[in-house]
Amino acid sequence: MKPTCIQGIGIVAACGRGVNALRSALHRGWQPPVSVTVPGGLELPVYALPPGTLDDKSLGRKVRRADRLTKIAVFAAADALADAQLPADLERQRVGVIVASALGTHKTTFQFLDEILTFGEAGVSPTVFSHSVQNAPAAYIASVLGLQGPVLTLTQVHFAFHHALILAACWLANGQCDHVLVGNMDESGTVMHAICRSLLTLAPDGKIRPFAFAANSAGIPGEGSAFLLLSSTAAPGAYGTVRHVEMGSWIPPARPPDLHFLEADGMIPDESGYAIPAGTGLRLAGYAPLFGSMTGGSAIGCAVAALSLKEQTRFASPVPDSAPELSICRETEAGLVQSILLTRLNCTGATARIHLNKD
Amino acid sequence: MVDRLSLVTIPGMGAVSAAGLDTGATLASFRAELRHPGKLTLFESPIDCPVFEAVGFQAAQPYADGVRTIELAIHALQEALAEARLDAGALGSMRVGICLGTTVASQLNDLEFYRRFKETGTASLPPVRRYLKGNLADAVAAHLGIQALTLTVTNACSSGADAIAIGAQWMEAGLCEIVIAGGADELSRIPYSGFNALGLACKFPCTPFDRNRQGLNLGEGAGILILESPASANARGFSPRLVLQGYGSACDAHHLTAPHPDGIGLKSALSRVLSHARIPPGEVAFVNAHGTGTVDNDLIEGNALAAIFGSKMSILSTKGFTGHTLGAAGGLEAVFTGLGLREGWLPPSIGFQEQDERIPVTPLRVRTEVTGRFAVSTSLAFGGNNTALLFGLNL
Repeated sequence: MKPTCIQGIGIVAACGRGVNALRSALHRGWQPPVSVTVPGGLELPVYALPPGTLDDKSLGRKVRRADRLTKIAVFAAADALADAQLPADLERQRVGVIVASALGTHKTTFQFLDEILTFGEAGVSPTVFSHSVQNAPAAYIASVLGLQGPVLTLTQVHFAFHHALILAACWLANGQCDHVLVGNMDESGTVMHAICRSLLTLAPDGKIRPFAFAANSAGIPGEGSAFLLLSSTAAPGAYGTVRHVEMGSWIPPARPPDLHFLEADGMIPDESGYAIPAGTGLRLAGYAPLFGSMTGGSAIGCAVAALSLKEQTRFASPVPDSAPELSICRETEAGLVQSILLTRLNCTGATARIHLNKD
Repeated sequence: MVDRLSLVTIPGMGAVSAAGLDTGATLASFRAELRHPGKLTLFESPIDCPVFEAVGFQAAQPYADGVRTIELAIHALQEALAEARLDAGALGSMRVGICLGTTVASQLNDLEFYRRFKETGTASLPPVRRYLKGNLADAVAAHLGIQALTLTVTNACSSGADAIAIGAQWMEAGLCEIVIAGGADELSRIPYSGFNALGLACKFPCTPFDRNRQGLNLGEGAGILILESPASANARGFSPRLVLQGYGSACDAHHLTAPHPDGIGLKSALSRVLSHARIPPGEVAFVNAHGTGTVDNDLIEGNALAAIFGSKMSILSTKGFTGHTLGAAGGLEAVFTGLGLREGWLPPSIGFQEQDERIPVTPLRVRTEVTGRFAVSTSLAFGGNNTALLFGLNL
């Protein structure tokens, strides 16, 4: 895989919207989740978008008919493009878009099923149907931002964002694109809240513990989107590079990175497998407690890593509870950060690893 | 752009649709110029539009959770693997990719699940687990029992074609030596009611490119290609004649459900595929068009094809035989394009009768001999993505 340059990042999540909101959240540290009431009256803690996150007068007009997931993705993608400060004469047919998700437009799909039950199949809304199609958010990103390169949506339960990064590198290496906006999106909603209430073990105190390596892990549902603007050539002011993405059995890195992000977030029921990559003596960090449990958490992890590389800052892990022998970033501090490895496990025990470098 | 895609051969293809339960039966339908639109039987609906069901399809090995899309994909895959002289054992020792497109199999769209949730406020987990286990590419890998790079593409109606392009990109990048690529979709009440609501579903058998066309009919099926590097094929003593010569994708960036009126995305995708393959437009023998039978698609696609290839280009839409199979369409039509090159003849663009004077190309009216080595298959999607694949025949 040919390395790609991270020129811009955009994020919409429990921290709010934008790089400044991300940086503030990393400095502020752990905050408790909010509580929502699921059908049946039970309470569910969630890391939801703060109120007002999707208020945007300039972009809002262009997405006023769009559903909430689409707005989340469009704002994150638009911010990544703006953050990259590409030239005004950008060749927009040379910019591709890849949107990854595990569950996609589920909220609007349930809304469409509701239309069928309420109005009958012959009485459903065409607007709800068209927004329930999995590639609707990507289509909005392309039309709002005027991007006319290849536009792709992929839906993958395991490692969706990692696949998207690999594909983006292919597009940049084979000359199809000069830049690719690549991101992931997750949304919570009433039905998903009920699913999470049944499917996830919830952290009783609201704290996700990335270093617990628990055989019965606990999470807190989250939502949000993060996008990276990747380019084929390095640019001044860039965050860093995506050097390599690999999937399969855990293999210790040939050269130890300065930081190793463990993406344990309670999404898989048994996280004891994280003990193996954690036990290699690398300096550890984990930021899922700020954003919640998400299938697409790796996109947000990459945004944190990119910021860490650009600002040469090791951000404190918000919930560093662990065995004392582990070396964990417990305080935010300036320091040399040349390379970061992000490791995520899936429920089959496979790992996906993203290697980021400063240059 | 990189050099032409001389590195992707196609040693096997498989198809299942209303046109036939395998490629042999499909060719027989094409030869006889027979099509089989009919009343919907797979589920009940108050909407009365003809559909193209894969009548008689029964999975040889029913998939554990009964997901018809996965069964259709596995059925077509078995044919493709047999032609390529491959099996799960052989694949187990190769660097394999599985990239498949779909629409309905990618959504948690179980109506009974949602009905129960609405009535009780609780989420029944078996449908959720079925969804999580039923990701198309992962399910096919699990069926084969192999480790593979897997990806499920959900790019609406271009999903199958996009999956084939990605398979080629993986091979260009050296990630795989063999890729199972294509698309699959079953008939589902979600798009059936959705396309009806959009006013795009035709009450009669569809008539792509015809002056009096009134919309599309939905269909179901799967089309699978085996993509293999020449080195791998040679090592197996195989010299496939059919090759994937190029791909190109571009977006209209215009509207969620309507194509750009000037077809800018499709023209760009066609320019890209010709550039990638380094084939001038005049060397393309025919185009298997997306040709859904909707007023806008056929008007814009017909004009874009004429702009790139000229008005004399041989074009056809095979959706008159299969209906619009959504995520499967790009895979099926890639197979049909490959069959056309290999067999040396094309069926008529069934359903087409009267020229639309606003469309400067004329679909084939009769069975036609193929005179040339290259052909293009186009796919246009909801959301404005356009993908073109260019196939070639080694002499």
